[in-house]
Amino acid sequence: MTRRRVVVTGLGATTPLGGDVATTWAGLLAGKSGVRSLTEDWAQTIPVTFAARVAVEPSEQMERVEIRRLDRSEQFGLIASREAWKDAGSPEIDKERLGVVVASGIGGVTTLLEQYDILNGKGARLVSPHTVPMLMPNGPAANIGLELQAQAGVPHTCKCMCIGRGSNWLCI
Amino acid sequence: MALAQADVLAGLKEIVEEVAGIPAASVELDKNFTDDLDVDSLSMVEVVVAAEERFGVKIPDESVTDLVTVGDAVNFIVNASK
Repeated sequence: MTRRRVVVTGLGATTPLGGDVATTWAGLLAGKSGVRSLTEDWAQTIPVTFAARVAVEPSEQMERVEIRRLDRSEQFGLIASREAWKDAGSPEIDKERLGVVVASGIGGVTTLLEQYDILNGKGARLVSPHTVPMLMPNGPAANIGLELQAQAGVPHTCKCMCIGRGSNWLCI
Repeated sequence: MALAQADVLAGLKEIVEEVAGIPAASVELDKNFTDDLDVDSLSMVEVVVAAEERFGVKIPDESVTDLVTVGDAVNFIVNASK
């Protein structure tokens, strides 16, 4: 197997420890845990009582319209990519040489479930026209690519097997 | 009873702001949804469905392409409410 060297030029993250890389890294070094008890009503009927949810809700980091149009997985991807791009110095580069790859365990599963409930409860007319762009697994890559105007292999997605931990990785 | 044009315009302003993030003050009768307000096709579908819900009228899919300006939409809704 031929090994190719790559250079990481920018980092971005939104995690159970923080809404950016610095907070996340500080939390890791301090030995903090991002796992919290689930206190919401919906969680009272399921056997699992804890989860590692993001520390900062996307609604605190994005415009309201973006929140409406993007699945949670896409929100996370965009938030991390914006930090990474800024960390890299927001470089001016040839868009035809700019590609986006994002790994996602499932994609927009919350959108799929919500819209299925709307379909059953209120009918097809009220299902969001944004459903497919929100639920597709390559949605995070597609939205990052649109924002950065990446024209080289934009919506790439590879599956990320999550065993014992939740993780999404992106590479621009 | 027919809806008043001013009431429909006020309602549409709120809907467009909610759906597309366009400031309500920018949503005027002569504004083109696509060229002036930058409302994309998917958001336009949301606007139409929200308007149907809010004003209690039916806007057939084949009529949506005729709603080029905010005024077109307001007039359609006012007429449909008669």
